[in-house]
Amino acid sequence: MNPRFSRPALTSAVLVLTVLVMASCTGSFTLRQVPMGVSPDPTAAPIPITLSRDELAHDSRLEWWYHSGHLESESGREFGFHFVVFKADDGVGEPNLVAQLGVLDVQTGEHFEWSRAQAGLADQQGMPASIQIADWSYGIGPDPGMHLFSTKSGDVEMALTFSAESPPMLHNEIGWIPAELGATYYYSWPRQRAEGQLTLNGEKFAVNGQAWFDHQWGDFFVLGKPAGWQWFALQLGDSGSLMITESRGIDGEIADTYGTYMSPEGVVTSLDGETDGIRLAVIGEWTSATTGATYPSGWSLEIGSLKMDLILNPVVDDQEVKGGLPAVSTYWEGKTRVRGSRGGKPLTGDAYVELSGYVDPEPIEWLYR
Amino acid sequence: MLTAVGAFAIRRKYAVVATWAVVILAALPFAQRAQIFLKPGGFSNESFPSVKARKILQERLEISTLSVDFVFSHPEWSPFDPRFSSAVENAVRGLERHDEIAYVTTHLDDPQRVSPVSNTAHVTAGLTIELEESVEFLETITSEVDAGPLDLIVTGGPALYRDISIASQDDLRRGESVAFPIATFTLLLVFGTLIAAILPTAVGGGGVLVGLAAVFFMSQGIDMSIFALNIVTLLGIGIGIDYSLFFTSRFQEELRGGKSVNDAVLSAQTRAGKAILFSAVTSLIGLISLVFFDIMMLRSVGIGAVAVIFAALLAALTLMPALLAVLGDRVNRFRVGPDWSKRNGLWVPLSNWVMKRPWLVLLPTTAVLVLFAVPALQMRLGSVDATILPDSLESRQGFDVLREEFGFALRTVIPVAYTFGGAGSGEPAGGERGSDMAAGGSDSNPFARANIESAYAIGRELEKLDGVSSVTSIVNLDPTLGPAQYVLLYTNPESITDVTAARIVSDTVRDGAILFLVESDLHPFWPESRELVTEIRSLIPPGTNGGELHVDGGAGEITDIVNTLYGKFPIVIAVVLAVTYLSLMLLFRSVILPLKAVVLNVLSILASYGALVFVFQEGHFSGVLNFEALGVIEATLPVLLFAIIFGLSMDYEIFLLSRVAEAYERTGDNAASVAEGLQKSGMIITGAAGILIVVAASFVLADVVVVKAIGLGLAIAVFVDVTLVRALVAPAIMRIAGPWNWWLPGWLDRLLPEVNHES
Repeated sequence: MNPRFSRPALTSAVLVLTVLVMASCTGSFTLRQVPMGVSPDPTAAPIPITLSRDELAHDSRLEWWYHSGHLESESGREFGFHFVVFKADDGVGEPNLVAQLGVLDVQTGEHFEWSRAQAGLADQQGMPASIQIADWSYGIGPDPGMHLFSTKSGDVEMALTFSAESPPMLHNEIGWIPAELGATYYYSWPRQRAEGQLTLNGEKFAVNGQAWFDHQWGDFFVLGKPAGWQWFALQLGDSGSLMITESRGIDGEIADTYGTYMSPEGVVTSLDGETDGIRLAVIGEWTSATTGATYPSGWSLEIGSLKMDLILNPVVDDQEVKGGLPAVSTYWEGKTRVRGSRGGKPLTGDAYVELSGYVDPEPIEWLYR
Repeated sequence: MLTAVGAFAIRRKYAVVATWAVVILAALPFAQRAQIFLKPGGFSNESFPSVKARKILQERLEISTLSVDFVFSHPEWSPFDPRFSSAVENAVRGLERHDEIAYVTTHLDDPQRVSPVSNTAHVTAGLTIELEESVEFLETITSEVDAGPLDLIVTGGPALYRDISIASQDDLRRGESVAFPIATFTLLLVFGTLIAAILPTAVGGGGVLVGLAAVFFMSQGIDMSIFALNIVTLLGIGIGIDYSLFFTSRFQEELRGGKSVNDAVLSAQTRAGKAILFSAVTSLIGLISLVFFDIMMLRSVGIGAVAVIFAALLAALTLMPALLAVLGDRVNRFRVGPDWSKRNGLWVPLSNWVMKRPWLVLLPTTAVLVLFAVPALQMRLGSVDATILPDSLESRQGFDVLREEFGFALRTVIPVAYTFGGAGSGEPAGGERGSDMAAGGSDSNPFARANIESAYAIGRELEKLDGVSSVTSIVNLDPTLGPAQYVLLYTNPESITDVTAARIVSDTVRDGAILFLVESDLHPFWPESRELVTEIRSLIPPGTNGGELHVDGGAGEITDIVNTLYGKFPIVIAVVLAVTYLSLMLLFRSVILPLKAVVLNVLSILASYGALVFVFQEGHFSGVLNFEALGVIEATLPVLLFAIIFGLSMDYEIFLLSRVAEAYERTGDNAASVAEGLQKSGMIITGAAGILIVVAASFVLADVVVVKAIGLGLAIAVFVDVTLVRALVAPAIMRIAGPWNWWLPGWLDRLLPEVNHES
């Protein structure tokens, strides 16, 4: 009982099934040559700085809010301090925040430093705004030029409020400094009234004085030794304020010298190293026993266009700041006395000086194998 | 030959039983230790591009791809609280002295390791060793880490693999403890007598023990995966009991027909034995196909399953006739249930009903089968992560914290190694210091201008690919920098102060190699991530530095697994179908019956795939079955289930068709033969399938979700097969096909060797 049957369907069924499954599972691909990369368009024109909006945090690779100043207790005891919040954001994950506090007790010559770190920055919805760095807090606003911070670390507590006593100072005329690797927005409140409390080694002081505030942000890279800078923020006795920066490039050579001067009347003038005849010379050195870095320690500063001839001397040599940042970022940040003359008339003042790029970086081990 | 073997077993029944007793007793201690030499994992292969890329990452970029994660927390202290920080430092201080540890990164090194929602920080210890060694090393270091006042959870690759092994063994014990009693109860129901019910369990169990002992010995010489153990045991129990059940029931039937004990044993041996032999052959065809996949886990299942099925077959064809010859009529003693042989049951009316209206049966049941299979079209192959483990295990708890509070495993990170210049052959990078690196001149210097420019081009291209959310590398630091700026930046790489950039330079570059970490919001194990991997692999680096890209990571590995599996799967399917078809053609001397059997088997498998997608991919019944929806079907599952189900389903088809064929040989009446075959095999097939369903379903209680999925997939396939396919669709088709069922062209009839009962 074998009926005629044209051809078993098996072969075709198996073939169809095979083709269907193979078609759905193919993992093949076509190779593609990657074209050479083209440099991005030149950095867009800077956006004019608007205060108070630009007092707040920006969506930028690097940003810092920076206070340094000179305080006195009711009994006349003198202190120097600097407080900074760094924000680094590589666009992946939360931004990293590092805050540092340095305090100089002029009477004892002791320099103290502390730091805190945290990942993440809470959304800032207008002023006043608050930035929390672990158990420290930093406040911005409500008005432009108003800030506050509150820190606590062991036996040390410090809480200061700042209010601007001068107009803001936009550097390089519009507050925009191009550099070798990126560019930064940069403005200052060169004179802020500082008031608050300082508890040092269990002793409590009500303090007040004058502070300098810097705010920088942008997509730029800071390089360590041999690159670096010397930065000077002078609050002069005639109520004038002066910022001078001398920056070194990747090769360690001086790349730029520039500054900004605010007259006692609040008129801001940008200074160019060459045009304005800025002459900065190191007249002393100090070597850190901790890091082995040798820093300039004492300067002569001449500014031809302002007819200024000044000498700057640190109050204490050891005002090196090491905590919270990698070794290559260790810097010197110190209270400095200013004396000299302007147009032949004596001139004194207080300054804070920052020296960056003097510590040998940690070697990258694999480079030397 | 079957008759000769049967005759020998009868003649030397006591010797055969004694020999088996000795073999089983000897096998027992080895079977209990079958897992000792089995290895964790086994989804990967040395020849995978991702595995080669991993070696490049390890050897040339010193990147550790295996790590132990310590999750520290405290109810009150924040991670930056000095008390918390110093407790963490104290806890992990000694770790770096171990050669097996490449680095230890704490939240003090990387603030991103602090949870934004709780007082939790995690520390990673990168390992320099392979997974197999890491599980033992894990015990060493966890005993050294004293969390002090902090709470500590240990997770990461070694911990997860350790827990998978533990959970798999627990699952196995739980599965066996449920399966054996229920299987015995089902056998009691089928046979109605105590001895007949115990017999298949004893013989099937004996076969499994011998098979597992074989696994123990084989695993000392062949790399075998721990994952094979559950599946092999499940198959062994199910198939071993099935074979013994068919043999025993046939023996009882022959006794009832008035034959003497020895004649009944011989008759069972020649008739049921032939069906068992061909069933085993078809099962082995499917399972041997697994050996041809370059995936250790599948190969292990293939090897292990062949061992247990072979043992089950030997036991059924030698021990069983000997035992039945010894027991004789006593096999029907101690009745505790109904005697089905004296009742018509449901099979006679059912077969009559199907024979009367075959189209009415065929169309709706086929529609139901197709409906079951439809979700399979939505199948998304992928891999699975630690969510396959129960959340009672420490490693899973740690994984959950990392996933929920740190975003681990939710995003895809694809490590892409860019190698160039024949690393090690060029000038060493850096020289005295890095000052003149960017001047170029060294083929393998990663900071040489030409290499930076090529890398920059690759970095930009990677950023442009669909699905890429970010790329991390030394040339993807900032979108405003061009190649010239990067060359400038790396004039002195040590002078970079930016913490992230410095870490990237320190960790992701070496002589002759630059690492790109390609991140995507796609889940690492989803199909879209595989497309991304394929896209990256298609890129040819620019320049003349001999550059190559090597893609690793979870997405890279699963891409390789899927490509390997599904590159061969169509061929394996074709071969298995063809060989099975030919075997059945040989057995039934028909062209149509084997074709029908093969097509219906494929339908059963597709229905099982559909159920898997519906349940495990889409998450239906996840509450009842206690698992977390995977979103994908683990890539090895369809292959594994195909191999297992194909053989198992074919068992029932063969048992049914062999009874139909016997009746047809005797009567020449197709419809009557189909009805008789269905009636005579119905109860036994249902019982056998019921046992297999119970055994498979017992693995639904497993903690490891993949084991659960295999159990459910198998149970559903067998259920569909034995209800819809065997009881309704197959008889309906045979009724409709009529005499075509038995058609064999003359030339083929002459070509095919005769397989009679004596051959």
